Amino acid sequence: MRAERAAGRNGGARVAPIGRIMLPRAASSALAVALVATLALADEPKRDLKREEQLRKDSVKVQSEHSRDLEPIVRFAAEKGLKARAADLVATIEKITPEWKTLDELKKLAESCQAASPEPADAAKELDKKLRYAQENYANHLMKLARDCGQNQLFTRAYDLIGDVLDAWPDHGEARKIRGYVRGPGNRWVSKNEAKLLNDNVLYKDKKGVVLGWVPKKDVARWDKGERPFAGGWLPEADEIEKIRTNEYRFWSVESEHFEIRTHVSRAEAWKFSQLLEDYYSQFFRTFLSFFDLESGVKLLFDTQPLKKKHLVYYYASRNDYLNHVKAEHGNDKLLLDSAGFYTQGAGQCTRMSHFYQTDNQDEVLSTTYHEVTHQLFAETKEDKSGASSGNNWVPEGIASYIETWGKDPKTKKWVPGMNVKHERLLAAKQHLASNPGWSLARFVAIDHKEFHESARGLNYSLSEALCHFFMHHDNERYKEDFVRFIAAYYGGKAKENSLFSHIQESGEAALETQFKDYMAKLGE
Amino acid sequence: MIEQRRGFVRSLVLAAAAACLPAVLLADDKPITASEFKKAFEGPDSHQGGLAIKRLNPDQGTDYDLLKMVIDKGSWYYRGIAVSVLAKTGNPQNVKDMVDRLTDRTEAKPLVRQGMAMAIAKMNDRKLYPELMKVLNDKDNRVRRQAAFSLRIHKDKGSIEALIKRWKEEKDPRVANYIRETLEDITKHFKGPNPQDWDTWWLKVKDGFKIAETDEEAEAYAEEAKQAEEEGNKLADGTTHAKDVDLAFRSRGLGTPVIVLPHYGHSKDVMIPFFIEIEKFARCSYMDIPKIKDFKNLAKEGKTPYFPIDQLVDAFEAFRKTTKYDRIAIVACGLDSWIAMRYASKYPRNTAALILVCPYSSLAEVHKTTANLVKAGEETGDRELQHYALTRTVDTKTDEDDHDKLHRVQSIPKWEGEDEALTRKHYTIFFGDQKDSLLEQLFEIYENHPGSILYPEFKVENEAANVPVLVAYGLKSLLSSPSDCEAVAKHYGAIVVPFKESADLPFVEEPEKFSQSMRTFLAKYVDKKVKK
Repeated sequence: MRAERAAGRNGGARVAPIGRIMLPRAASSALAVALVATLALADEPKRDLKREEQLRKDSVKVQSEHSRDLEPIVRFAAEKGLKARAADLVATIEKITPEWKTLDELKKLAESCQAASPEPADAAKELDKKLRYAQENYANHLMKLARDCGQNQLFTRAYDLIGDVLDAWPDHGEARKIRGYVRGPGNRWVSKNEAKLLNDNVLYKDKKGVVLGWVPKKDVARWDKGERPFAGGWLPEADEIEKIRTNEYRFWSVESEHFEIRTHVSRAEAWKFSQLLEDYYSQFFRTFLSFFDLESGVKLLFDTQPLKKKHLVYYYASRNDYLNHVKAEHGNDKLLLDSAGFYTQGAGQCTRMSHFYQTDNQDEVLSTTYHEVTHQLFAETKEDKSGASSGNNWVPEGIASYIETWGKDPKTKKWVPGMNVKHERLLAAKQHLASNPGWSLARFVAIDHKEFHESARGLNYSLSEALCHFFMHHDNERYKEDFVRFIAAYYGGKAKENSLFSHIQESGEAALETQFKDYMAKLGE
Repeated sequence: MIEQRRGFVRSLVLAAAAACLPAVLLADDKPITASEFKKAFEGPDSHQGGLAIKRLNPDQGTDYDLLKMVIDKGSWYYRGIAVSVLAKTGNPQNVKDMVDRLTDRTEAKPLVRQGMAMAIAKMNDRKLYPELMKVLNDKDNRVRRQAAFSLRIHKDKGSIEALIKRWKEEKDPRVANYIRETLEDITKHFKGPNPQDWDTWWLKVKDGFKIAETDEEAEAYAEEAKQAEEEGNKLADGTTHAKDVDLAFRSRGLGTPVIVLPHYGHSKDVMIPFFIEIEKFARCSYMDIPKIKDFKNLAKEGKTPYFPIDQLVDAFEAFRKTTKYDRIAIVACGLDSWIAMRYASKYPRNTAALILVCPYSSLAEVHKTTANLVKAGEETGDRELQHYALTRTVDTKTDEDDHDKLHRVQSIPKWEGEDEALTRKHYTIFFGDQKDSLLEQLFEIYENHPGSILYPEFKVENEAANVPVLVAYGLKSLLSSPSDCEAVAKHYGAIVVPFKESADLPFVEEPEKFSQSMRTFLAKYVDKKVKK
């Protein structure tokens, strides 16, 4: 039957779907066509658990072999008084094979050896040669593993292995190319984006060595004189700063490979932020690869071609500036006024931007940034039809909040998703669940946007974050892939109030609720 | 063999995929030629038109002239973008030109004066604020209204006196509403609808007055806010619960109790600024329709429920009881007028009057409207209107609307920004004047969609005609027809008030006439009969 319907766009909610960031058509190059064709040969990804297990074993074997190759080099370094080098090599062994049988002995050896002063040059050269051989061998084995993982559609694992290749052998050409690097000036490896920019630009630093962003080479002399571009001409820096800061619609715009940061804080802050976001960007795709269809996901992860339109981020100099913007451009929306930041969707002119503001608490600012940019990356890298989903408001807020639990390993400086198990929201959720044993998972996941934000909003954020942490990490990431596919269903407009339980098929509703409560009871203990 | 080939190709591709180096495109930054601009601006795609405007350089002569042209001739959406681009200019000559164009001595076109006022306000240059305050005295009410709104954004103590002074002379209720709201926003005080009260207060406090910069400071005025609420000067929030749904409302005013219902999918926030004159003689309770999913056991066709008219009628009756008035009047727009009509049928003794804005007489008329919209879009080349209209009809078996079907059957991909464009189009056609900056302001607050519903069978002839009714309609409406509105009026023996300059929101576009019509109507038919 055909009927007249009064509908908001996308099934009744005012979430205008975002025009998808159009990924460049693969047909633009023969190799890219091959990639698409290759991926098209594979239908829906079918997990071969046996093969995955074998690849895991092969990884362990390769790592063990490398530690075995490094051990005599450690002993050589210790013997020759190359103390610092010995310690570094022991740290490497510990990182890749924490259970290495002679690890303790090697640690003692490195600690107790006498550092030769000066360092014997011949011995150092000899050590470099031995190490180079071992590293190249290791890197080549890892590269083969990466290819094997790729063939089995374990693209995240392949991505990680290529990262390991570069750790072992930073000059590995094939790995560099796959990770999107090319040779730049001075034979240095640079990203494709940087290589293109270096043709006509420099990464400009002020007199204190603070990076301000890319500046055309032809303008460097002016910048060195303390002039800044403004309104088609040039102004002394102090004047430019004053003019920019009074007017929200002028701003400093600093671009990195995937982001454009607009701000009134300063160029230096904008550049710093852009680098933090770039660092987050690849980790995001690595973690949420299953959110995308196979072709899009691989392209995004391996960054095969630059974005046509960068992700736009607006960083206000103060909360007052932020509030004025909400008043001027967003109808003084109460929810936005009460938030630390937001990501705009919708059909007005201020759309598809993250907004947040500077405070004294830099950690809080970063937290908000990652939170909002998560919303943004989900919405802008795939067509957003979440308005057609019902309930499940915990998903977008939970996953963005969950990102706030990510941290950096102090030794490797690499992202560790979910590292901060003492995050305040996780603790709040833990406490709430302990005090409210009757809390219902089914009831919670059915909550829609209105109820989520109008009733016990803070608690809802906490529980959402906790749920996402559970699904991403419980029992060795058992539910992770299914959960990420559920996120995809939500953003694809296909999730209903109780859809979660049909996506996480291994366990029923009651079992999941029990597991979640147990997980939270033990988290951080 | 296949596995080996896949593996080989994959490894080859993985190794070489990074060799592609297409150019990075930065759409907003790239300069635009005059012919490119003209094509986009005059074309059917508002997303592309908006992008073209963003690429204009406000510091450059020819682009600056194009921006002025957009402000003069463009839709509200285009004008809003042009204003934001203009606000960026650092070219002192252009700034001077913009200031000069604030007055009708130099600029005859009111929309250009309006646009310049918006752009100058956005620049946040305190030196220019006195110029902006002068715009409060412009001869065009749209320009004055915009000046009053713009002064709200960056709080300035100097604005307060200028606003109060203007308000004392202001005849246009819409401008007066805006002035009042801006004063309340800047000062966080609520002195009521009378400018003299504000003037008296300001004379007492102005020397020591400090504008509250933070919420904490504003909280200090909370006591006064509560008192203002009790005196009917501030909106009071409330909720009633009936038949499993919560009816949230905001009330203000003194006099005949009136439920005010916007168009289906619109927020009550789009009504409130324009009913302030009406609040002088009516206690208005502004309501949003509750979320459809909160209703239980609704009749459905396929996945979509029917509009729950009877349940809403009962919810309103529950609300009426909380007011303790024996009768209430209802203002209802478009589809929501069916609730009002059914309420009057079921509770005639509790219905003081109905004020129906652009009502439909039947489901058949709704079908006609949709067909007319599709045709109008096709005939005028307004692709966005045509596509929007197609979204109104759905196959309940497949849940696919005619718009998605068109794209699917004709294999037309959705163009970039299409969904946002259709949202804007749906909103814009409610207005007769589609250029005014008012539309940009309201766009951010207008929507509060309860959820998709199907229009049920309805015929006004089946409803009892036993209460006083006023039917108001706009002659520029695409969504309703004069003949159909007259048919509704005929059924009720209603007073009919056509609005020449309006589409479906006459209380927004011709507020003076609307409030006068309502005042006369209520005074004649209602006021003496309503008791608490």
